[in-house]
Amino acid sequence: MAKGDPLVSPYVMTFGDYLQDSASDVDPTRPAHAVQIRVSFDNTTHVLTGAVVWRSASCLWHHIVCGVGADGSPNSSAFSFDLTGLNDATRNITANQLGRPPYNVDTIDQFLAVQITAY
Amino acid sequence: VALAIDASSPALATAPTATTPETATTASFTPPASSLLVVLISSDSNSATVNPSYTVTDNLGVHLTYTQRVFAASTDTPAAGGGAAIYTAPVVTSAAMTVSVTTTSAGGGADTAAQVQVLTGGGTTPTVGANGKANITTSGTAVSCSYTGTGAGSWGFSAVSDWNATGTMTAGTGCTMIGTAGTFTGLISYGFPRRTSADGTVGGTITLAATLAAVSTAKHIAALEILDPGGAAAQIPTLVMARSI
Repeated sequence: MAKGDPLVSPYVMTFGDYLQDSASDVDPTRPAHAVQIRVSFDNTTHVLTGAVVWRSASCLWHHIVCGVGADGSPNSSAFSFDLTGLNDATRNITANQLGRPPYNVDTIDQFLAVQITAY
Repeated sequence: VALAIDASSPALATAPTATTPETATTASFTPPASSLLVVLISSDSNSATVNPSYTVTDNLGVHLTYTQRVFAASTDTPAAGGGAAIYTAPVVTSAAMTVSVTTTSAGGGADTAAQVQVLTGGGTTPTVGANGKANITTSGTAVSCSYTGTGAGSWGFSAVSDWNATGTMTAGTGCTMIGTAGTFTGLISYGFPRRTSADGTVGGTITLAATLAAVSTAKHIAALEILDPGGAAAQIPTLVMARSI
C-alpha cells in the first residue's frame, strides 16, 4: 500500500486507555484496555457492508464516537457506538443499521468524513 | 516513583478525511491540578516539501498554554511527507476540558491524530527533559529515535507518522503502543509508542521505537522525555569542605 492507493476494507481503529501495555496482550489485534471498531465495505463502490465493535473487559472506554455535538465535544455527538455491556466481546452492526439514525452513513467515505475518538 | 500517567488521559482522537485543515478533538476529560498535558501529534502533509502546521487549543474559558517541544517536519533532512510533533501544557486548576489539534497543510492532506497523556508528579507538575526526532526515508519497517536521558525515572513518549500509510504499527522493544490509530490505508498511518515504564536514567540512551505493518520510505518520529519531579536529575558537583580540629 502506497500513498494515494485506494482504501481497502476493513477499516480498523483501536483506542487504548492509560493502562494499555502491549507486552501483556494475549492477542495484539484485540489488546487489553482497548476498544475497537472494524468497518467493512465494498472496495469498488465503497458501500458499507457492516461493522463490528469490540471492547476488552478491562478497558475504561464504553463508547466509540464519530463527529462532535453542537457544543464541539465528541461526548455530545449522536453518532456514537455504545459498547456498554461488552466484556471481551463483539457486537455486529449491519449495513442497514448504519444507514439509519443515529449513524446515517452508507459509504466508507461518509464514515471517514468526521473525526473519531472514544470515551 | 512519583511520575505517573493519570487515569484521566483521554483516548486517541483522529480526523481522517484527507482535507485541510482538519481538527481532532478529544473527548471530555478532567486532568488533576498540577498535572502536565503531553499532546502527541501525528499528521499527513501534502508532500515532502510542504510542512504541516499545528494549532493546539482547548475549550476552557482561559486556555492553557501549549508549547511545542519537538517537531519532525516534512522538510527536515531527509525530507519526507507527513509530520510528528509533541506539545506540553501545565495544568494549574483541575477542570473538565477537551483538547483540539488542528493541522493545516497547503494543497490538502492534513489527516490528524492526537493522543493526549496526562502526567502527574505526586502533587508537583512534571517538567520536560530531553527530546529527539528523526526523518527516515530508507526502505524498511523500523522507526526509532533516541535521546540522552536527563532524569532518573523519567518517561519517554513519542509520535510516529508513516506517509506511505502501510497500516497498523506495533511497539518497538521496551515500548507500548498507546492509542493505536489503526489502518489508514491510502491516507496515512499513525502510532504513539511510549516507554512501557518510567525507566529513564541520567546519561542513558532512551529509545522510542515502532514497527510498521509493511515497508515504508517516508517516516517521522518525535520523542520527548518527561521528568519525575521526585527523581534525581543530572547531578551538579557539590563542594564539600572538611577540616580537622
